[in-house]
Amino acid sequence: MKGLMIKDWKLLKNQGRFYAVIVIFALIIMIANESGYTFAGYYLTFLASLFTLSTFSYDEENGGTGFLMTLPADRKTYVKEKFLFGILLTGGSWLVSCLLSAVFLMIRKPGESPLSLMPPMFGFLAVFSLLLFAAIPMILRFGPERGRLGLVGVIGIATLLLIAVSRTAGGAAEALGSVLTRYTAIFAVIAVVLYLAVILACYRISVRVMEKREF
Amino acid sequence: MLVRLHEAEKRYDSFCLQCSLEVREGYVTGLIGPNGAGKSTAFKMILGLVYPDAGEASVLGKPARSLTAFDKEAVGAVLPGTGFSGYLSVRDILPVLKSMYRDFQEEEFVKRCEQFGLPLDKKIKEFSTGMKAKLKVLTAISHKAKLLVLDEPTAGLDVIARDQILDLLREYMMPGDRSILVSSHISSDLEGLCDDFYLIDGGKILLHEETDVLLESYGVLKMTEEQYRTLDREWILKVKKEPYGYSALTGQRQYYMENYPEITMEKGSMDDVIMMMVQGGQA
Repeated sequence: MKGLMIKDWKLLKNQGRFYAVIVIFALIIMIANESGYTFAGYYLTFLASLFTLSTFSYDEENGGTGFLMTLPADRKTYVKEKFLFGILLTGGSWLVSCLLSAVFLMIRKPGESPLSLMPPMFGFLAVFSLLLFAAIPMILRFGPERGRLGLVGVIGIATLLLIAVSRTAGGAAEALGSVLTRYTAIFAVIAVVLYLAVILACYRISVRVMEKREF
Repeated sequence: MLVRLHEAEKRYDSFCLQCSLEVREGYVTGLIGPNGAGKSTAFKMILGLVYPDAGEASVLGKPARSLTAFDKEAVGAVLPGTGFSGYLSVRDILPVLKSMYRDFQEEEFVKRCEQFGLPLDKKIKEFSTGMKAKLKVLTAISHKAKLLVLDEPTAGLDVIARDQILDLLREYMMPGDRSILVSSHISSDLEGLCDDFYLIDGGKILLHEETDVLLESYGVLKMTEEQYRTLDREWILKVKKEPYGYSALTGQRQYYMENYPEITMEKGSMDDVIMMMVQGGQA
């Protein structure tokens, strides 16, 4: 796994200039927008998850994934490495964006606690990491292009379903909201457990897809 | 036996591979045949990239699909058109190979890259076809593998580079306990390198022969229709109609030279064998 991880870090390093421009862009936006402290939170976390997905395109280039499977790395290890790389890169970018957001908040609103940024920041991390991990089995099954398209389709359907549910059951949503506020800690634990269960399911499906795949 | 395909089958919509072959220790075995014959499918089956629908594909005594990372350290592979991402440089892949292969010969690998004119810091995507081919072979032989599985390793190389690569492969075989399974469109490469070869066409093995036997005993008879009518066809493998009469492939050149001195006999080559076995009919 170490070798595959080094390969992906080298690919990331070779795109370093591009990512430096993106970070600078995030800083400029945050400086220009006086009230937006969480911009870096979703922007950098989203880009980190996108880069993890782009490593599949680099691997797939000219059937390179098949070549990687001739090296001392089995299919399960390949999937494990991609998940770990995604966790490290997305998690790392999220931490950097938390720091950036906190620094901007402390400069602009010295009296406000940086902890107030945590709920939206955790929200960004959960959404983008879940999208990333859900995309991995689809990319392994359908290839980078069709996998990404499939993911966009899934997001679209989920959004439409949410809109439909909120419109038809507005009262129930309000009631659920008040229950959520009353039992925040319990629901937070349930959310974390569900989050981890979804990641584990994505990982297992990815391993199964990869082990069945032929090159 | 380092590689064994035993009645291995792979079925696609319009193609079916059904073959048995073996690569013995200390042997360089060639797999030859026209485009679309099933060579690449056989290579991929051996490397565990496609799974047999029936039969058995084993490498180093284990089913090809269950080779561990540790087992794979003993195998070096070249597949046409694939390799490390073009966005990496040779210097980038050094730590990758070093962490994957305990026996990676870094110093020698770098020395050979320089010797073959491969820049260490240039992105692989900027390499010429020949440079990419050289890098793939150098990578495959960089970690003291016991077995090399090389599908078209000399594709895209000029005569000099091809010769250099073939010399490297001969040098690789020096310890005596290593083996190579190789395919190439350039039959002269295989004639000078392989101990034995399999001829494959339409997904089936048509012939397995030692290269020395091919070069010493095989021949192509060129004869008129009259000569063909009176010919003893017991040792004729394939016959082909020609404008002047018939050509026929035999594995007993000496017999026909002694008994039919009036018939023109050409020494057998891999190209002749491929042409006659694929295009010729039964005698």
